[in-house]
Amino acid sequence: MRHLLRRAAFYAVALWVAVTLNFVIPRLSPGNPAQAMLARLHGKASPQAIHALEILFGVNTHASLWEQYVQYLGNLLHGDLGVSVTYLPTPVSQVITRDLFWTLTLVGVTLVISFVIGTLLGALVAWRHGSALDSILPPMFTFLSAIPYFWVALIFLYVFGFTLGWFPIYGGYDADTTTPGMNLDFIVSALQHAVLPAFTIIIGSIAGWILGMRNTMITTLAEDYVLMAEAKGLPERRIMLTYAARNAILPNITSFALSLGFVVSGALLTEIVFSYPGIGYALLQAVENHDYSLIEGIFLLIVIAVLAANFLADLAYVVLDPRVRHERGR
Amino acid sequence: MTGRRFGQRRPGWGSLLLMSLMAVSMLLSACNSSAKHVVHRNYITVVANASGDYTQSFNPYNTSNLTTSQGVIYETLLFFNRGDESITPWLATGYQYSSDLTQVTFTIRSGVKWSDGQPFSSDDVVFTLNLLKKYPAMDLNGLWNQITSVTAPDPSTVVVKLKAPFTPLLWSLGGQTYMLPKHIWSTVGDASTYADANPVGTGPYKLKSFTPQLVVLTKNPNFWQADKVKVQEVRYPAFDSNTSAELAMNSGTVDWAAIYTPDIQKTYVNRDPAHNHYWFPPSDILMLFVNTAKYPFNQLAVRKALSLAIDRDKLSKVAESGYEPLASPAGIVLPNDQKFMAPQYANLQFTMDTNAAQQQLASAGFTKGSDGIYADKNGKKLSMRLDVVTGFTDWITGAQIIASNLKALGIDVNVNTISQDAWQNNLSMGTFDISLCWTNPGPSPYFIFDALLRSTNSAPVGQAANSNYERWNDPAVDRLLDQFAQSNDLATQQQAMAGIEQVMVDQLPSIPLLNEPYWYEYNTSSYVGWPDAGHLYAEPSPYAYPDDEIVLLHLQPAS
Repeated sequence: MRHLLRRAAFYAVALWVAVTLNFVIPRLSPGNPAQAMLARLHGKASPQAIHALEILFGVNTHASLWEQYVQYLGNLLHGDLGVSVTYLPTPVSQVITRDLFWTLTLVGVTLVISFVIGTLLGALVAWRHGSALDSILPPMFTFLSAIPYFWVALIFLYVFGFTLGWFPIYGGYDADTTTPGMNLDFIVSALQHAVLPAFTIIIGSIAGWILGMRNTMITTLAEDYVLMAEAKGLPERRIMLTYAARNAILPNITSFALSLGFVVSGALLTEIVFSYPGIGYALLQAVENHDYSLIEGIFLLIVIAVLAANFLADLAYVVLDPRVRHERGR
Repeated sequence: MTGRRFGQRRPGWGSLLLMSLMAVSMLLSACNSSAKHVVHRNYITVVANASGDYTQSFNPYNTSNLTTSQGVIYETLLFFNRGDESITPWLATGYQYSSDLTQVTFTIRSGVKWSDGQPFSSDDVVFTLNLLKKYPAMDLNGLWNQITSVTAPDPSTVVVKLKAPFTPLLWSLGGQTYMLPKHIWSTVGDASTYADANPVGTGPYKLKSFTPQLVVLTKNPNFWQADKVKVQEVRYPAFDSNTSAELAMNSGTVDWAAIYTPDIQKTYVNRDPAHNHYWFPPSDILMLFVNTAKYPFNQLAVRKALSLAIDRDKLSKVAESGYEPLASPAGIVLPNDQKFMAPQYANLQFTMDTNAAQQQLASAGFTKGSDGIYADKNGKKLSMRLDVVTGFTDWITGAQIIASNLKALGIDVNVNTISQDAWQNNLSMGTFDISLCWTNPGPSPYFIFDALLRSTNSAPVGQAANSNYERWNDPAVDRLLDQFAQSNDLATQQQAMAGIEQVMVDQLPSIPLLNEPYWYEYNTSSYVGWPDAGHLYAEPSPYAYPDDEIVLLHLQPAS
């Protein structure tokens, strides 16, 4: 119980620090929302526009930074994330919910897929250490993930989307012919649109899982208990999965939990290349436009998700690693 | 270890994964092949910009989403063609200045209806203008700096009284102020932050459906020129980047676009030469802004040397793919501003002349050091930072060309690639040396000159300047601008502009480089009648407002 309270206090302090940084950092960069909007209008505005924009965006309000900070904390406590400047006059919470669905499904699902496949492949190539599979797979995937993601994505888009025409070129679904909702047309269309982005993300990230798993697994395979399991004549699959892989997976679980937290930050490059809806692009827009509320809203979401994922990782360790369970039991 | 045989029973996890993904993709792509290649479409697809998902706001005074609102839904009293500087009556059938030019009387068109069927009248015009007074955040053109009152003596007349004669106001008042329905907007509270999710306008289109990824407008049956609307629907899909927008355009699914792409002949036109076209008419001038509030840029000889040393031909051909011709030294956009071109400058052109540039520097007391870099009498080296925006690839190439030109002359240039907001902030605050930037165009050269040179649009270094970023303060120029603005006599206005052109040529307050174009690509397979060099009835870009409406009204189904 005391341990749990200590953890809870730690998470509360971490949250406060993050929220404060979240307030300070965006305000440190030069410029303001009105200037950013003026730049976005590419000169197609009169010199007087800057004054109107400053009033509209509340630039030059005479509240001190401290007053703004207190107000910001107060609003947060009431669950009020403010209004986005980029998507004026849409509230930040609406912008986030609009994009979160796409991000969670695309990034979340691809993360799970590449974690599961990558970890299994890693275990397998370690088990068959030195075989042809081991000498081909990890270098191949390392090579693929070493190519800048942007470039891979563009090539896939160009070849499979544009030249061959197998997949749509842009968007999260065919907005021309389908309407979002629980209908078959939309789901099929959304799946079609997700294949290329998902495939490129998996290709770009799977090597990390394979290598991580393979390396710890090889160390684990040298342990006495694995040798003993073999000596006992246990089935190979059982040795590989229950004896070696279960122990080797712990570092991968940690990074999986961390990645899970960062799912909500979106996949910026994917979104840009495929014009796929999501949080990443909204965050980029927010940063470019000095959209403090939107930046704060999205970072708050990321912070909460990362802290929650860490907490889950803590729990998962307890389940997977008897040593942790033991220590805490005492 | 014995276990190594294990995998033999299940060969190729990797290939299995690949194969299953391929199978899924084949299946999905098979579902995709229907409903494409419809020959006669009754809609067009538009890409005006690639700035991500839409928000459901059609407020024409909200800068976050103008494309699907200004012109197509909300209309102006007059239409100004920035291409040939002509004025067409629109929601007003005419306008009349009082003899002292302090009053404009608009005659409001009768029979115009809002898309909900309510009649449009002078009441709506007065309401809209007063709304801009009540909410200065909406007054993007600073109308109420000039206006004293707006009244409607009868349903078809609006009288606008001005503080003093100011004829350029007609453009912002008549050509850039979008009329709102009083019966709706009078009850919405703070109009400057009103989303206007279901817009009611007088324009040719109304909202059909909205999703963040696609806005569809459909014909407004109550439009006052309904017979001219041949395009039933206008679709605006959302794009995050030029990359996917360009592929969509190249694949033929986009009819009307505004995308910069380096080799358009090859990537776009050659794909379907019969239907894919582009045209990049000039909009304004790409300037090399020099911070004249700072040494050594306050030295005319230095500005002249900079201008002489730059290879504008190379800038045009290499950095801008030949799309942007050289700017006129007079600061005039040709052919748009032809009638204001002073005859003595009509044939004046920039030519690169490194020797003359060296003479300029020598005459100002600069001498070349052993490192090949000029230094002034006190030994201070001629060294400067050139600001350019990250991601503007054409500008970055241009900046590198300029830097190498200036290095060849003997000036040390450091190309400073920064984010758009940092770049804008440096310009506004005067914390730059030299910087690339566009200028603010309008339906006469006055607008570029006013923004660029008027002292009230400047500010001391460290304070934000509106648009006179180079910080040019010259009472003579202000007087010439006033002379233009206080007159509606062409000869008087021409004389004023000629005076400013002389300042541009002789004193180089800012260094013109190239004409900035409107980006404009169009496909004629479904609709024809697009603006081109011979038919410049409106600025052709889908981001030129309210010209977008004029273009849509000119389109006819391709036979």
